Amino acid sequence: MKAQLGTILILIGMAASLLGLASTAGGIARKERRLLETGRRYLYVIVFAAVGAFVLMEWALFAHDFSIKFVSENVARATPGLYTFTAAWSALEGSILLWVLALAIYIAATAFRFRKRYDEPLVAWAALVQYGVLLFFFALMFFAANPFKEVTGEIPLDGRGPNPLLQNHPLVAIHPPMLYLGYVGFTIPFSFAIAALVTGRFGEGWLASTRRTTLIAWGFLTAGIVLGAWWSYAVLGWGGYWGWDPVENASLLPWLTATAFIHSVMVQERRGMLRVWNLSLVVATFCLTILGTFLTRSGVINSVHAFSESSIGPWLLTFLGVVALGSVALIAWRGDKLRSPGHIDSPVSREAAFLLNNLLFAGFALVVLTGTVFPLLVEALQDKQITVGEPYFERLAAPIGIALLFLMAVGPALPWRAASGALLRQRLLVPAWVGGITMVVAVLFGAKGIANVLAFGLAAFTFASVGRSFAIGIRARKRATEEGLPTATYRAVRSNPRLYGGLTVHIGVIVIAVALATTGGYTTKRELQLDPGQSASVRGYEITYLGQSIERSAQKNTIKANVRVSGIGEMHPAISTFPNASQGIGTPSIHSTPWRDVYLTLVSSPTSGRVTIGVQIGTMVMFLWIGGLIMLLGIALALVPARKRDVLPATVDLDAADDDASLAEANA
Amino acid sequence: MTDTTDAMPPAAAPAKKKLKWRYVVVAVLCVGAVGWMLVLMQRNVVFFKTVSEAVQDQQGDGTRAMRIGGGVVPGSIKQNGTGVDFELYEGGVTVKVNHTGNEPPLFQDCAPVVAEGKWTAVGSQTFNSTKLLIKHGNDYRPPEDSKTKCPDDPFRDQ
Repeated sequence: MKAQLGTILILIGMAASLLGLASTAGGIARKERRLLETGRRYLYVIVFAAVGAFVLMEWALFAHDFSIKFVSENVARATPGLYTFTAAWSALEGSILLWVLALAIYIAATAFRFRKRYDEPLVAWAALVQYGVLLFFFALMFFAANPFKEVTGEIPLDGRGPNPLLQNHPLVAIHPPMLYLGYVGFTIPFSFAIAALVTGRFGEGWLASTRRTTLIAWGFLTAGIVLGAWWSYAVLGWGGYWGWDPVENASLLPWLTATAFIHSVMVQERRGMLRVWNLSLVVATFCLTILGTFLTRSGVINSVHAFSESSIGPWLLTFLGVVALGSVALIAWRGDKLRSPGHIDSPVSREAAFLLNNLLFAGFALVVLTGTVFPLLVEALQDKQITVGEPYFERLAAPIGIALLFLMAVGPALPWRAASGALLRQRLLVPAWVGGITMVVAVLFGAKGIANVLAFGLAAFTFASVGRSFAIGIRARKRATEEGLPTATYRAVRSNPRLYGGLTVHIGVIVIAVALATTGGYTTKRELQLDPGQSASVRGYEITYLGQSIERSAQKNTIKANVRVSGIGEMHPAISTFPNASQGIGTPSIHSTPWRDVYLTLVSSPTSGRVTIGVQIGTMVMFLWIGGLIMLLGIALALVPARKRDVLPATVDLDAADDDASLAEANA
Repeated sequence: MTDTTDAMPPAAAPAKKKLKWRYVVVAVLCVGAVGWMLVLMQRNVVFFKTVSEAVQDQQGDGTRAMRIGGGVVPGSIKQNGTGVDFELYEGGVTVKVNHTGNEPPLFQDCAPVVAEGKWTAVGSQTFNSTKLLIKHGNDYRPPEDSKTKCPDDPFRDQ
């Protein structure tokens, strides 16, 4: 019953997308508002179909309707409620359903925002592209990955349950949806970019229209990546948080190009330059999300994320090819009209810094893309299995990362067009000293490696530079309005949330950079074989193995090692075995403080009383998550609309903040 | 929806000449960077072979870095001071592995393991490993009763 209903809903969604597409296309061709209006109305049907199908899937999961193949394979009667809920995206078909749901919501929200402008060519063409993407994903689901497919033969009495790794930690409820909301969100800026190309309105209109959506998608993607790192650290139990795994790279790639875009947009807004570049970045970001989906979902890569062999690979590759070729052709066709009116006057200016920033991000993306895709090409062409080792990524990512840190310190302090030496001294001398002194102190305290010392120094440099920008904005406001410090801070930020949000994101990045350096360079790893009652010492921690305990539930059996760690108490690294898998799943036990993480894993199930415990003492791991949180706060802040009445009159000297404050004014 | 960009006066002639040089420098830098990237990648390419393939190709591969995959021979795991010694089997071939460093969780008899490292010498049956990975197989189905017997080919039977 539910199976048929679900398939019908998908069919309805597909039909509505097709009709919406046709109607919008007709409206554009015949310049008829009524047809455009009709096209827009199909969105109600699409949202209904997507939400309906998702709710129906959840209902089937909770009702243990094992006549549906997806349900019988991804949920068991013993699966706890939370993991029954998350089972909806624990395998390929359901994750496409979630994707479609997110896409429908984004597109509906966009249509609502532009409800008064739906008959403008730019918005109409964007709607057309959006319908096209919707149609593709509904068709993909209907023909290649139908979550409502019925089981063949007898209906099983119990289901198999989710993959053990996907039912071992509540983060599975947040991490995948965040990534999807990030991935899918880039459809909106992509549709407007294509619309701009087709209609020839590649001024700043499409940028302004999609700025917020881009930022939202970028924020979700950032959250998804940080949560993925956390999940890797807290659940997978190998002690690390990033391994340059193809699937991790797949999420990083669109993030890199989107980050480049968020920066280069400002150059176009301000100076009208980099138009082709911005369009290319948006198209590249969208293509990379599709490539990422292909990598993670088609089964070409073996990992937690790659669910199983499936037939969606050719579909996604074809779609990727069409999108990429079509966009390149459009850009080539419009190439001559896209020439920008301005050019860069001086290499020491804000726009030059942005340009360099973009080259670095694009280069970073190229490095990651090459290292990720090359093994696949070799395997496809020569049938040899190879991997590109971590040293490749690390040796190239380190200098790029350090150059970006440097730009983060200098860029926001540079004025547009050209900077004078005096101005640079005034704005950067003190922060540069702070950075230099930090490097000396870091070396004195025994910091190892040039990259680490540079990371600490540049982080301090950037922090001082950002702090100066905040201080000057707030001080200028205080002087001009005689407000108290809290009010002045609040009003200053409210007057230009985009600037202060951006700077806050930068602080988050610095915190993460420092954490990357410390966790990379100052981690102790040991492995201990201990009999019950025996103890050993690792970096001042006395570690005693007390014995083991076993917990049984219908979902899993867990063997816990009881370990006493001096100064912390008892910790319980564990191994769980699930009825649906032959391999057990290790669960690390982590004691986190801001400066020190004690991370215990149970390496093997205890045999004959003796146990092997992996011990890892990490430095400042928590700062990774704190940095991620600061980034998200900054993004949220940047999304707040500027309040006009808080913007100071132009006569007030805002020094470093001058450019952006006046820009905000111009926008207001 | 208007493009209000301030029109710039065309650049003066000398500046244009300077600009051309700049392009050359940038192009050289970019080519250099990409070249460096490719060299680094070449150096860090690690071939993966199953135990039997690796033994077969040993003459050609020499002692270059590679990954070999197989199942852990039951009862062969022995701790040494700095890591663990064990044997890997696959395709009817068994080799010795000396591993330096940590073991991954769930490293145990029969486990499908990928070892990264190199042969001690050309023609040797001993592999020096610096990194061990447990292959998270797709064998995500109920365990069989034959706990005592390992699967014949832990890397092939998917």
